[in-house]
Amino acid sequence: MSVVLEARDLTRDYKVRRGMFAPEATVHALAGVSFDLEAGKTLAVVGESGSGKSTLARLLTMIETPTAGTLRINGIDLVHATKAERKTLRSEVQIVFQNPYGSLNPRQTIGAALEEPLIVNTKLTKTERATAVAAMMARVGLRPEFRDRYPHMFSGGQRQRIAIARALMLRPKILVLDEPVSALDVSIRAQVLNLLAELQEEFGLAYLFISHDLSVVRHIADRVMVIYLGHAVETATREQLFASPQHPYTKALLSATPVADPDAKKERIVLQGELPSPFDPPSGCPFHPRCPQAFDRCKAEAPPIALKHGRDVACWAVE
Amino acid sequence: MAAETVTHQAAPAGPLSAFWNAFSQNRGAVGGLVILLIIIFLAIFADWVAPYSATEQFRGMTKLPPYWAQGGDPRFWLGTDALGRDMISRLIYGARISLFIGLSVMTVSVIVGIVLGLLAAFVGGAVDSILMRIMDLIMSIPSLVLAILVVSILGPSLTNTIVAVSVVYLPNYVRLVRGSALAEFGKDYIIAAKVAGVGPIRLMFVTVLPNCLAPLIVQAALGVSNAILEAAALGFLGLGAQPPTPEWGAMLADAREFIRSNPWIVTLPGLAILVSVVSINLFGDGLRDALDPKLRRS
Repeated sequence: MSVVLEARDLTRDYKVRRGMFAPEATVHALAGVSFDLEAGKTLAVVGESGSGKSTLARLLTMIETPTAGTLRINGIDLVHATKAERKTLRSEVQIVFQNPYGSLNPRQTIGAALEEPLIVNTKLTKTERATAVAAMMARVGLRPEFRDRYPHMFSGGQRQRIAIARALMLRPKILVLDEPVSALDVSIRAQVLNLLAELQEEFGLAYLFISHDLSVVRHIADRVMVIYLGHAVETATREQLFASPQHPYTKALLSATPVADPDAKKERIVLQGELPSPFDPPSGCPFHPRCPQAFDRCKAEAPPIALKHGRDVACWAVE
Repeated sequence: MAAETVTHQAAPAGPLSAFWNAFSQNRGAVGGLVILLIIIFLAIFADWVAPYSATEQFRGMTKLPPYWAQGGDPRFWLGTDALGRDMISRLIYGARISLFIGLSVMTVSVIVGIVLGLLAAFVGGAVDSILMRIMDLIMSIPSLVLAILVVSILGPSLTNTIVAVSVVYLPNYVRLVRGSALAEFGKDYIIAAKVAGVGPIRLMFVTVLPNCLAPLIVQAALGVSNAILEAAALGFLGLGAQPPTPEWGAMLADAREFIRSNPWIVTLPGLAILVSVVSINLFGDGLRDALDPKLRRS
């Protein structure tokens, strides 16, 4: 059980100008999220569009810096890291994107795409790089002759394999998977998920698996974090979360997942309204305007994250 | 070795032959390419193809008409000009100069345009604003007026013509590169390259630039003909290549007083400009159609 990444109160605000004379508005894309990633384990992040999932991915991969909070990778604090430390840490975290059609450079052959991280980050010779590329291609199930082909010649599933191979070229410890199977056919989805599971075991990777598809999460996750409007509302192990969801939002999410059993009793919780504008988040608990269990305290005070029923929940209604 | 040849046969079956298939369907473009290749051939081998030197004067043979017209001399196919120089030789040598101007203007403005455009797109902020406002400034002045201005500051010569016309056409390239770089910039593969640790220089020239190249190639091809026209206009005004350089625009200018008495002297260089510009434009249009994936069926 080694923690490779530690996030504490991770916050990211965006300043947005609305019109020339309007004052700058602040969007709280991520409002204080804490979690750990362990080697060989998968943390799934679940939430609807606009909840801050992709912002989280961008913070972890160092594309953006957090506004507040700490992010430690291998025990090194990213905010205070030196330039050299950042460079080494950068190769520890890699990302696989949702859309395999946009994440590969259309003018780069597969071989060149896989080789690029090695050219930039290592001092390997050309033959060593070619060997590493060939080994990785074989590992993810790509035929050697694909090396000189361009991305447009491949199907979505193959492209996602290429993207995974590219992400693994630097032997990272952490892989951020930003909805890696959402754009794939259901038949291909299982293959890619199985490949990811095999790779995790082989390389001891820590996964941050971002998804809105709970059936996929149920398949791959060890722990699940549900986020709503930039807040982590419930974090639990997979078994706990799917067996007895506590937060009203988690309950609503789970009730929206189809169950392949015609006799199953379905109690669909339908949420009212839309995700509130992050420009002007609700007072108190961010979920209270849509919450079926909300009472007066929810409007006034934001619930702290507390250990209830063996998991972290931020809700006043959970005893 | 054997394996290598096999992969090489399989791989380039993609972009290049697909391009040629799309390009060859446009007959005008192929025609333009053929004429352009002929002109390039004449320009390169002018020393062997041209019957005489471009500056050699034949006393007593001035203003001869083409050989098929009355009074023509079979030694001078297209006649001679007011100073007794062989017309076809001057036209062939002129092709060399016009193409040289066109290509060097294109090269200079494409290279500078790529650098400035990528810089504007990547650095953004103040650098972007200042660069683009300068480009707007250049574009707001009529191109010929600006070219005349630059040449009159630097003094008339072939090199300064190239500089002037390059400045005039620079904004097109800067804006094009900046626009397509910005469009590419939001895409995931750029972020993936950044996450992989690719530095800004490599990101600009290795990752982004090849993806901006298609519109740039088209613009560059069409830019050659514009540059030839602009240089001819400067030559016509006496601000381009200086006599006795056989530049087409300057030839037109020298001959315009004979437009009534000996019209071929002024017609032939004009025709040469027309034919080369039209062929380059046809070729450029075909290039655009072939490179634009939306117009391609595959």
